[in-house]
Amino acid sequence: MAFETVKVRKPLLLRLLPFLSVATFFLVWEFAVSPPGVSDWRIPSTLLTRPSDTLLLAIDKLTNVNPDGATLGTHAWVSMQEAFTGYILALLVGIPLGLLMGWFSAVRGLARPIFELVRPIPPIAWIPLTIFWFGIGLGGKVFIIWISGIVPCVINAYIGVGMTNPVHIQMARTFGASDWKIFTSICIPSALPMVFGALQIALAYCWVTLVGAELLASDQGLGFLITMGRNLGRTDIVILGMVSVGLAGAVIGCIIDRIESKLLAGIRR
Amino acid sequence: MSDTAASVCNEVIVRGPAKRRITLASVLRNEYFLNTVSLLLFFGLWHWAAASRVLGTSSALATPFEVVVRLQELFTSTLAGLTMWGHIFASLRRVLIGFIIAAALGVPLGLIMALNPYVNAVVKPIVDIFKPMPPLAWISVAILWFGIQEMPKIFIIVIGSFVPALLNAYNSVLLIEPELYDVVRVMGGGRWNEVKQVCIPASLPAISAGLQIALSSAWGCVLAAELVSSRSGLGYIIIQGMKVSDPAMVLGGMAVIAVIAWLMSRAMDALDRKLCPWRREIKDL
Amino acid sequence: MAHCTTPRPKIQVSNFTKRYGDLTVLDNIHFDIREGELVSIVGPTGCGKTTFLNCMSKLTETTEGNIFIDGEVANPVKHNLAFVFQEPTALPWRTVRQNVAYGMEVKKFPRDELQKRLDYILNLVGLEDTADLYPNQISASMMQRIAVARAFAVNPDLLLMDEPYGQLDVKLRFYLEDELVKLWQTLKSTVLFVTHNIEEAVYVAERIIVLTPKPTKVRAEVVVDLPRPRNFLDPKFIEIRRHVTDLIRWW
Repeated sequence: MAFETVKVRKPLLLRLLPFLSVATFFLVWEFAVSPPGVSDWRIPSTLLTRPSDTLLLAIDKLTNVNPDGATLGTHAWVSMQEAFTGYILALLVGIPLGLLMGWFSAVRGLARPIFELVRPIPPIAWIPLTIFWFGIGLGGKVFIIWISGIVPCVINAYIGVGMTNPVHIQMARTFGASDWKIFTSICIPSALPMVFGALQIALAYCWVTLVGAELLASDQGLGFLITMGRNLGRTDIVILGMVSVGLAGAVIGCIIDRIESKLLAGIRR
Repeated sequence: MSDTAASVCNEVIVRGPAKRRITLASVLRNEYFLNTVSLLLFFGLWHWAAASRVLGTSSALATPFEVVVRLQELFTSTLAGLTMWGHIFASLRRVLIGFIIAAALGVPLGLIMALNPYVNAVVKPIVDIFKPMPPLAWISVAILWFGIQEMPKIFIIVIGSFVPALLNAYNSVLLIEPELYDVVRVMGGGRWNEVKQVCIPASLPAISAGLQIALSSAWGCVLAAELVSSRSGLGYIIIQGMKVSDPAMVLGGMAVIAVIAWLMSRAMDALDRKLCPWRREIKDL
Repeated sequence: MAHCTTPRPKIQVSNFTKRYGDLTVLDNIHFDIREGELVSIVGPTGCGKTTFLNCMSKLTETTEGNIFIDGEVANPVKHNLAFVFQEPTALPWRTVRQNVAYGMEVKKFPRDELQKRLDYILNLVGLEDTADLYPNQISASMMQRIAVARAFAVNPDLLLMDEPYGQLDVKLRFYLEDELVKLWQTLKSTVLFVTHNIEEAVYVAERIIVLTPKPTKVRAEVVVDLPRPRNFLDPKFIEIRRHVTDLIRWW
């Protein structure tokens, strides 16, 4: 009985603590920073912006294009467009490539050395070359995001095929199935859970790289908003940009999480 | 027993393939042959694309040969007061300082979070707030806070490698099979014994995997930080190459970056094998 | 015995030899199987049964000799071979029905015939009620019945079974052995049943081929001419079982 009472009491406090923790975090942030234009013992507003001011600025930026040239909505829309174009292209190329590399030794033999050459280069390091090739438009950013998203796609699909139960392959072989039939009917379904895992990893990579790409070369987007804020000495805009990027990343992550669990339930493993 | 086969419980395990005749088809299907073909094609196409200026201007791409020559120059002469070795050292120093700080903070915090539900309840929501924020988004604010010296770069690297180090340490403990604790409990071991004998060793493989991710993230972060503002480091080399329209310098810098990233992951692998030799081998790329 | 009237060797295994380097695993194995016969293969642990079966099913090439079906060298693409593995091989992403259909799909059965045969086989093995469930929703014995049904469904020239019931408990085993015999009698397939359980071999087989330890040879062939259904306690049954056990034990 004593054991049970302990079990009942614990979650109550444990359930409250996260809310307290987050509330404390925001309250400390709010009261440890000076309001704009005031200088006292607190952290000056040139270094950090209060959450309330950030929120007000966010509301203002929904309609106001000054001082960086676009509304918050436009910046977010541009960033999303870049990220998703690169992401979708990475999935479309990376997953089939990884699957084929996993099963057909000829594809593996041809694709793997090039993949191994490119893989260790952080996507950020492609930025200068990309600017040579594409300028600072959409194409260059999509290319960098594509590079960062394709690596986890290929790896996961490849490992997924490698995790196919060998007895399933033997079973198909004894029925006289062709390599292609084994690939489509055995290897691909076996690899699906790993492939779904890649959907999320690749998106996280794409989103991280997007900010990097926009920091350097762009004229719109959330990353550009951050850079612009720094160049103008507007800390509040920098913080707003960071919060927007984090928030958008979290929302996208949640959506992909949902989709993934739906898909996984669909194949009923 | 012959060299080619060993017997385990009377079952034959074959070591080494049976002899095969060399035919045209078997050569075409040989992976090493295909690897060679692939690399030749890659460098051939690269050379052709650079030499024939398919990408437009001469500043779009340099031939592999030009890259090698340029690299040699970079290693022997100085750029912004440093040879290539100096730039490599500058980048590596930043990465190591940032990475060590992040690992020293992140791994213990992750373990404590996993072991103590109260710490977890307080810290996890805060981590969850910061987790979706890409490390590179911190660059601007880091520059505002710390100026343009070493501090902002190290700060970014710490941010970039802290989250993977922490989350992997945290998850590694949660994924330990509960039966392992029972082994200790059945022997009369206390809580501390459980932590020392089960948690730490059982979570080591995942911690080291997390550190590997953290290190490669740190490497990306240092480049980004150096691209934005720096007078040294490999990121500076490639951004400088871009500014003076010297693709050979950019590609040379990228090659060095790739080699170092590769060496770092090799080193982490070796460390991993040393720390946890019992770890199951996973078929990996 | 009805099957003895037309002794046409459907399957000929001749001069079967497999070497890995200096190590001879299979040494000149030779035997025939008539059409519609159920033959059991027993042998001591480690007698190279796995290698033998892999060679029979053409998963591995033999060093010498070959297996002939109707006088032709066996070829999984051309002939109807089927294999029931010891481990469950139900594909987790297919329903029971789709799993049983898999072999026929690979063999490119016409759709109408496939559906008709599928219903017939599912009915025969009593899987029609669970046809739309996924393998993770059914028991281990049903998984093995899927594999057996899938193998019989393609109407194989030769059906190879590698200790299919080795991982099941005794009760299920008796039940599934009866089911196997029923399927075999109904569909008149040619079956090669590998097991290390002698009782099982005597219970299901018409003829038992006893193998020696490595290098593996055929030690003896024992004809089991007992009426069906067989009884484990029948003195004649016990006598055959003893005989086979002795053949395995005294080499």
